[in-house]
Amino acid sequence: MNFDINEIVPQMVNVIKDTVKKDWKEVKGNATNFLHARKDRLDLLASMRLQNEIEQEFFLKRLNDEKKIFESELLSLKIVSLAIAQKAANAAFDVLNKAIESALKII
Amino acid sequence: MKHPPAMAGFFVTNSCILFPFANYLFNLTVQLFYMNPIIKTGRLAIFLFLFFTQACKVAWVPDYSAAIEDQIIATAQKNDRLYLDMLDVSAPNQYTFYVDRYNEIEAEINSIQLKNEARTNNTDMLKIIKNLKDAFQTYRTEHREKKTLKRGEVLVYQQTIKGFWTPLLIAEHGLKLAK
Repeated sequence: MNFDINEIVPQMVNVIKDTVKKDWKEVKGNATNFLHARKDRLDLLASMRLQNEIEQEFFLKRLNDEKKIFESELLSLKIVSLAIAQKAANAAFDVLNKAIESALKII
Repeated sequence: MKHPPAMAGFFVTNSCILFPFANYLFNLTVQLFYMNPIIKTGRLAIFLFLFFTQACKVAWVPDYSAAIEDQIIATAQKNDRLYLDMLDVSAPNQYTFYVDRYNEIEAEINSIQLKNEARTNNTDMLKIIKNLKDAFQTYRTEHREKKTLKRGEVLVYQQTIKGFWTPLLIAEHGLKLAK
C-alpha cells in the first residue's frame, strides 16, 4: 500500500493555510468596519449630548449599549472565524481521505 | 486477535464523535472486521472504514441559510425605515402611531430567533439575537413611556440599533465561508 503519512501531513497543513489565508481578509474587513461604525456612533452620541438634544440619562444608557454591541461584534467575528476553520479542517480531512482512497486503488 | 489501527481511534474520538450514529456504525464495522473470521477481504473493511469516515465532517457553526439572511436584511431595513419616518418632520412622532410597525418588527425578530433555536451549534447566534431583541424592546419601551421622541433621540436610536443588526448579518453571511 502506497501511503506515507509524512507526505500527507504537509499537504494537509498547506490546504489549511491556503483556505485560512484566502478568507481571513473577510474577518479583517469586518473588524475594521465595526471600528469605523463605532467611531461614527460615538461621534453622534457626543454631539447630540453637547447640543442638549439628549438627556444625560439617555446618553449613559446608549453608552452602556456599546458594551453589548461590542459583545455581538466579537461573537460575529468568532462565528466567521469558526466557519473558516471548519472549512479548513474539512479540506484537510479530504486530503487524508483522498490519499487513503488512492492508496487503496493500488492494492 | 488483531487490534484496530491507531488511526481508527483518531477518527472515533475526534471526528465521528460529532455524529453518534456514524460513530456507532463505525465501531461496529471495526469490530466486525477484527473479530469476525468470516470477513477476510481487506477491501470490504477498508471500504466500510472509508464510507463512515467520509461521512464524518467537523461542524462548529450552523449551516448557512439564504432565507434567514434575507429575513435579517429585510427586518433591519424595516427597523431603519421606522426611525427614518420618525425623523420626517411631516410625520407625527407619537408612540401610538408606530405600534403596528413596532409589533411587525418584533415579530420578525422573534421569527429569526425561533429559526436559530432550531439550528445546531447556535449558542453564539442566539446571544447576538438576544442582544438585538433586548435593545429593540428597550428602545420601544422608552418610546412608549416618553410618548414622543426628540429628533436627537431618534437619530441615536437609529444608529445604535443598526450597531446590533450588523453583527447578526455579518455572522449569518460568514456562515457561507464554512462550505
